[in-house]
Amino acid sequence: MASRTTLQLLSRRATTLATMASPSRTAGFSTMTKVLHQHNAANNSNSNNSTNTSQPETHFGFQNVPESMKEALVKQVFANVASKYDIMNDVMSGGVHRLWKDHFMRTLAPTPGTKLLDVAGGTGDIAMRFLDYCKETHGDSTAQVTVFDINPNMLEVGKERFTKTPYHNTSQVSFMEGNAENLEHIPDNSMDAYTIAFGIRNCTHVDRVLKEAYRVLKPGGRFMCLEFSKVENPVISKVYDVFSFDVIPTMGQIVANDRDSYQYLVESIRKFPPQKEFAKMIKDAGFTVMGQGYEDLTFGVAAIHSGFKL
Amino acid sequence: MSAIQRTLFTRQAFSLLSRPATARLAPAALTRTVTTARTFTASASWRSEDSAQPSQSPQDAQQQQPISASHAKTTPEAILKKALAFVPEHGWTTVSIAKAAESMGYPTIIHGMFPKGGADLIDYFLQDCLERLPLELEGRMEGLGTQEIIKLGTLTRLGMIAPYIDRWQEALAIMGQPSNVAMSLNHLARIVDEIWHLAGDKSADMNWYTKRASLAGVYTTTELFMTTDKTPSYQATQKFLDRRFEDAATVGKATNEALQIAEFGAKSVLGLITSKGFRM
Repeated sequence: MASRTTLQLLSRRATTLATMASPSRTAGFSTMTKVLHQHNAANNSNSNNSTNTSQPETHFGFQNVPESMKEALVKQVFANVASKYDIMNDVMSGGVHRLWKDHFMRTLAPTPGTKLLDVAGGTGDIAMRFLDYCKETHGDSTAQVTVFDINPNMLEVGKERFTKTPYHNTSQVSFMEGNAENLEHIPDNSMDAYTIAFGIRNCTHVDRVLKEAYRVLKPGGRFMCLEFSKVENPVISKVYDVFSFDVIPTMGQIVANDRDSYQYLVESIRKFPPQKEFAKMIKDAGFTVMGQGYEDLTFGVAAIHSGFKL
Repeated sequence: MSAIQRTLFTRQAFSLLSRPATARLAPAALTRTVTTARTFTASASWRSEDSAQPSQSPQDAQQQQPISASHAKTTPEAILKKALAFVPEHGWTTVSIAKAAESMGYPTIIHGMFPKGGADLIDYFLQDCLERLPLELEGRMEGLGTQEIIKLGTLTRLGMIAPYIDRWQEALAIMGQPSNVAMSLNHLARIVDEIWHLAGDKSADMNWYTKRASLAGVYTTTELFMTTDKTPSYQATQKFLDRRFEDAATVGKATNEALQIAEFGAKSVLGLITSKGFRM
């Protein structure tokens, strides 16, 4: 019930935004906050038929929202950005995200016949690199990837992209819609590798995601995560702050005509645990990590975390 | 150039030079038929045993197989330990690691545990050798003098690379790559330190450095010679090592003589100056 209400509220929010000629930096979010307050008030007044009045809160960007709402809110963000996702990535990172993803795939270095589950991989960026790597490095056409995403809009973009490749309509690639916290249609010990690139910070319960990753991996399988992380260098951190909070939302406004979604994206980056903390979460989920368990990319703007199920 | 520098440069220069050669040899090495394993036995009096060497029982030869004495503590170590068995066929490579993982029932993607591939495998092997050395020498050093223990230790340590001898130039090439030089030198330092330690060395002066530097020089040159030695039971390597130890002793003597000459010269000059009427 709650999520249905949320969606209605979000669509109201979208209408409100559309009527605003030039939203100020926080206008979208103040609207959203107002919506959220109404939602809470509604929950409180109907406490007799609502079970989650005192449910724990989680972060959505810099705001706190009830846990049950985050999923729908994130869904909305990605539905908004899906069509412009790849071009926005290029604009925001100056193309560097491609280098990160290439390096990510070289680090995974899949062997012939590897079965990969690429979670939050909607637009197929990682899946495409994976199959290309196997083809170009090993001449292998037995590797398989399952592109898994919670968002049908993002999956559509990925499917569309694969139609133009030789992998289209082969057993090498398949698409699956679902929540990373619950991979119920994927059996235990069935995957060689699990990747999640720029996705895990949008999940409500990161620990549950890790637990599911551990479950579906074969013993000896590898978990790899590419995610924005913390810049430790104080000088670069300053520049990065200005870029994140002033440049990116503005570019989102200009290129994708959607400031709020990009405001959320940069805020969610700051709410995600820093490298060491996340490495500890991976260990806590049962994975064996080698060394410190992560590798910083571009001063820590992004980081690759890795763990093995043994 | 100090003795240490000379040692380092010799090793690096060799490793860098040998890399393209190894690359060229690689296809041939792959098709090379497996020759019967040669044995390498080290004892304090190995020189006099030269003639008696070929009479080795098959059981002894069995013991010379690529084995690792120390027990693997963790899964990654177990994989590397297993990978050593694939080195004669696949070299010091990620392929050996992946094959080992596969034979243990793990997906080959687990090779990502060892991002440096061959260098990680070599690192493990050298560490394992270091731990095995005192175990192998246990009970064999009684009644031996320092020189003899040094010889025995060096030979025993060299013997550990015998199972991988056809792949050892490849290993040296990997060890000589800039990113691995620190790891290689660290291992070399620990090898010579361990041997001197086993010989009961307790020196606490400059001697500590010169002893280790000269043994490092002897060790690396002999190791290099060994990779080209085709004699059964490596007699040529053993003789080569013997000559290097003689050289090392001569160098020590020569240094003393040089010092005496220098002292004599200085005194002469001093005497000359005094004789010309200068007051010192």
